[in-house]
Amino acid sequence: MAQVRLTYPEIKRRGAEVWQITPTPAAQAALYARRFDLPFPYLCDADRATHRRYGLGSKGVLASLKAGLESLPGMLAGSVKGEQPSPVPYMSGGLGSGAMEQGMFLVGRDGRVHFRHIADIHAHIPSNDTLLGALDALSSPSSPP
Amino acid sequence: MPDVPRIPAHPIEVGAIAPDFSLPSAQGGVLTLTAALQHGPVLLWFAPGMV
Repeated sequence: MAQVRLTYPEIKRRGAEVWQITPTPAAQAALYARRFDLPFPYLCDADRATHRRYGLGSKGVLASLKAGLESLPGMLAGSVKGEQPSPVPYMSGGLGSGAMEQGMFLVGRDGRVHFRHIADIHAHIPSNDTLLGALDALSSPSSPP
Repeated sequence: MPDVPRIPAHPIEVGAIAPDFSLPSAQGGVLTLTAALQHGPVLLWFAPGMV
């Protein structure tokens, strides 16, 4: 979130919005919203239906387990420090059970996808320059598609 | 017959119509993509959570 947060003012200046869509249950997300300054809308897709409608699927049991194990220390540390809610709700369905493909889709006012980036679990998101470039291309008169 | 959303086998491509949806926001309320697009482009970031 930190990277996108940094460039969020520039995204807003271009008349666009960012929605972070997560599998986080609504009750857990509400805790985040109360505890943290979430810069942009943080949406809850707990049943992953919207993920699936965009063609983002589960990465499989092994990849999910790996992602869960990688994120667990940080979640536990944050919980102990009181910086994050308990990770128990995540773990109740099986460690890493919710790991999905990640992606970014830039949707123009015409309702079409003008840019997309599909990432593996915990893979990097596009650079801020890439994101702003996609937005600039969208506002240009000769913008595809 | 209810309109059942099509589930694509692969992530939707550039140029495709973005599927509409409504989701609850952690900050309150429910946001709908088509309504937001009236005001400007939207960057949808499908992320694992607090990253």
